[in-house]
Amino acid sequence: MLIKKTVQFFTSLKLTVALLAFAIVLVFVGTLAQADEGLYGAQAHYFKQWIVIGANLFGHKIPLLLPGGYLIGVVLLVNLVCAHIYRFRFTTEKLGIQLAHAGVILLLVGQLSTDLLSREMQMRFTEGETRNYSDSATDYELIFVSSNVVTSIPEKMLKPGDELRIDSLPFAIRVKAHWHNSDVGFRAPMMQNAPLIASNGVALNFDFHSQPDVKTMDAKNMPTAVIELAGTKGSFGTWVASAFSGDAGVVQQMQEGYANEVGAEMAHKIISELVAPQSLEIDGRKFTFLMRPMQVRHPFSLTLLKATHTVYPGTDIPKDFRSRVRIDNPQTGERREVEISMNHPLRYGGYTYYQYQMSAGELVERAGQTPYSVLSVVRNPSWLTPYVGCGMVGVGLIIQFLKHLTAFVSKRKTK
Amino acid sequence: MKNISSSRILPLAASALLWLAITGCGRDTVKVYHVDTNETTTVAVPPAPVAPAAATPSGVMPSTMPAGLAAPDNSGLPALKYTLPAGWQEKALTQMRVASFSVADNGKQADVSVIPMGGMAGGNLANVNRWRGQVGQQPTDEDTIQKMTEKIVIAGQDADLFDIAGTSPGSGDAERIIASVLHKDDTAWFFKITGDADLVEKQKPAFIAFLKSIDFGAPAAAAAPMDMSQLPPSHPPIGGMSPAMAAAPAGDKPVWEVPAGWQEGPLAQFLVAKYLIAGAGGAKAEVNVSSLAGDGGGLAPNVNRWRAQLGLAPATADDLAKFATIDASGVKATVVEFSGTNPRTSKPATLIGVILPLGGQTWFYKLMGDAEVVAQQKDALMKFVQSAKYPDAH
Repeated sequence: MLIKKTVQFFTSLKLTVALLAFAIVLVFVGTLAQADEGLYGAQAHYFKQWIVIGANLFGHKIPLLLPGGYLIGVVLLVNLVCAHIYRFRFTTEKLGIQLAHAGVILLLVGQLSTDLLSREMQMRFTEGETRNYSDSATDYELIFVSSNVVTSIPEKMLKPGDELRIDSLPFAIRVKAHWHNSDVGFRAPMMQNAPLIASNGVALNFDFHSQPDVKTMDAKNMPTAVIELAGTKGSFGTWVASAFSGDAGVVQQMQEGYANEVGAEMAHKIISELVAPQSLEIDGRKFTFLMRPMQVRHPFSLTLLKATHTVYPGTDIPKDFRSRVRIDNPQTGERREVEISMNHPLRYGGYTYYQYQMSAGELVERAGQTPYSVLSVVRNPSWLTPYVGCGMVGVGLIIQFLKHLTAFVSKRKTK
Repeated sequence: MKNISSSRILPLAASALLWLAITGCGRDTVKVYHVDTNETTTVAVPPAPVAPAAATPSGVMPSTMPAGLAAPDNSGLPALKYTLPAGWQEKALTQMRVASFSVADNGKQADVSVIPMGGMAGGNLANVNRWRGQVGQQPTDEDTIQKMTEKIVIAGQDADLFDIAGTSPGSGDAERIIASVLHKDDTAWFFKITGDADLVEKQKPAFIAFLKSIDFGAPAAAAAPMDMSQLPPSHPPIGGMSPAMAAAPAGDKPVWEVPAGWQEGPLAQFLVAKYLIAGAGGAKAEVNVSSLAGDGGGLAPNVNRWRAQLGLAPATADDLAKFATIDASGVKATVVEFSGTNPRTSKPATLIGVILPLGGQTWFYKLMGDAEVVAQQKDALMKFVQSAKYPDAH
């Protein structure tokens, strides 16, 4: 009886209509809330969420209870799958409808798997450099390096008050503070600076403080953690591990900003202090640590051979950005050169490499800098599902309409 | 007719949900892996860009190189006070700024910044040519800069004011920069208004009034970073620090045999150690120890930075090849010695520097001050450098 009722509930059309109605409200509220919460904030609050409690609209907090995007999507998927299985009959009569349904199911599954499995990364290198990894565009990791062993702790695991004990490390990591987004300030001379937040390393010359999460797409959160390292005999001290010291792209931008304000030489000195390696030595083993963008390792490498930025003659208007790279794959013995340019990405090893940013050209060479290129790296194992799903829905609807049309036409003929 | 019984649907739906729940897990777990021994796991700092040929007119090197991060005396730590001109909005402080304002009028924008830097932070030539570059102007020479310099008194001290108009190389808009650098004690204070040319020109009186209203206030309590290793483990927390912080060791500081007569001075930005030496008749000298990652920018820029502190022209390639060396910590350290005039005190001064590359870092030892005191302390400096035991040296 209970099973029958449950099946009836999950296969009912009323549930489909109710879920679609909730989806309309959720999309409406989530879209409006982007103005207050920013794109990523709204995505996390409304769409990548099971239950939405409260909304931020027009500068006000609105009491609200809604099913989140995950809940609507999953229940809708279950609803469609159950209805599909429950009512399935292998007959040409319903072929179009069945195909369209299966297409919608595929779209839902594809979107969910894209959300869970896809990764957006970046690969940043100067001419001549080789990379066998990509950096996450949004996630960071706290790493400890000893000899050639890297222990990577996702930044999301750093919860204030927690003590992390990891087999590969002969000390515990006590998280004293963790800010998902932060800012760095130079401990100014002749000024009253904030109290030191850590007793060692970069914190002696720089202040770090919490910031609200970013709301725009052109900014990113810069996490900072205050950690205490402790052995069996007690504390070794406290340090700051910040993305400001470990994100090469941000470091370069800061150096350029400082150079504008106080000159290149001074900027070089300040940045050298900001990124100076922090380490701890225990029993003859040295552990260097930093917070850096999370790395995804590849079984092959790319080497940037040439970054080319061309402009239309006589103007500063960019004409082309082009990276010539060499692929080296020790597993397959492959070694070849390819060009990546705007609208001509490289698809290799399950990843797609798009030309994203570049610092190259005459001005860069005149300034004595080494040209660099940044590739946007996307891994989406389910990238085909929207195409296949839409195709199935389209073909299903065409079959269904043609069937009705031919039935209608033949009925008129018989009259 | 139903082809599939309802009892088969639930397990299917449950498996679908389970698959969804477990997919995507595994990202937030600790990973341990091996990397190539030659793979760098630290952030490399791009070298300070070489000045483009056009930045040094007629091939003349700037006579004053940016002076680096000498020791600002943080013992006083005054608070900056000023009168805010009408229409200026305070902005959130970012990175180096200790005061930041925006000015807007009819859609036009200007930005005001106050940045204190330890050391001289570049002479007028380097600073003015940098600002000229920001408004699309070609670099110029000392004489021209001297002619365009306006004088102003900030907090009771003379300072130079520069007014530079041009066109933004990026946007092509007319822009203007009015800037002043005040050298107070060991710190260079940069005051700058930049933005739309008309608005900045209109705001010039307000900016000058703002500069004249600057007051560094009464010295406050010392808040320089303190050497916490000197505190006993049972010492109570100090000013906002947790007990763990107060009891923690000082970190990567080397251990030295400090010569007699050297008094530890207040530590300041980027300094690992500072010692004050008093000579006869009020003469004095000081020793600064600092370290930078890698080669610290190279020998020539650092030597020239030190030479600039004595008002000397940059060293030639021949000079750079002739420096003496000493053995310290198993490596050869370069020893440099110059005599000149301290531009800030206008008194004769001597500088002895030791540059020691060790374990991926470069250590800079600088003894500078009254010529007689420096000459007397030269041997003590060498022994001091040779006595160092570095925490990272293996």
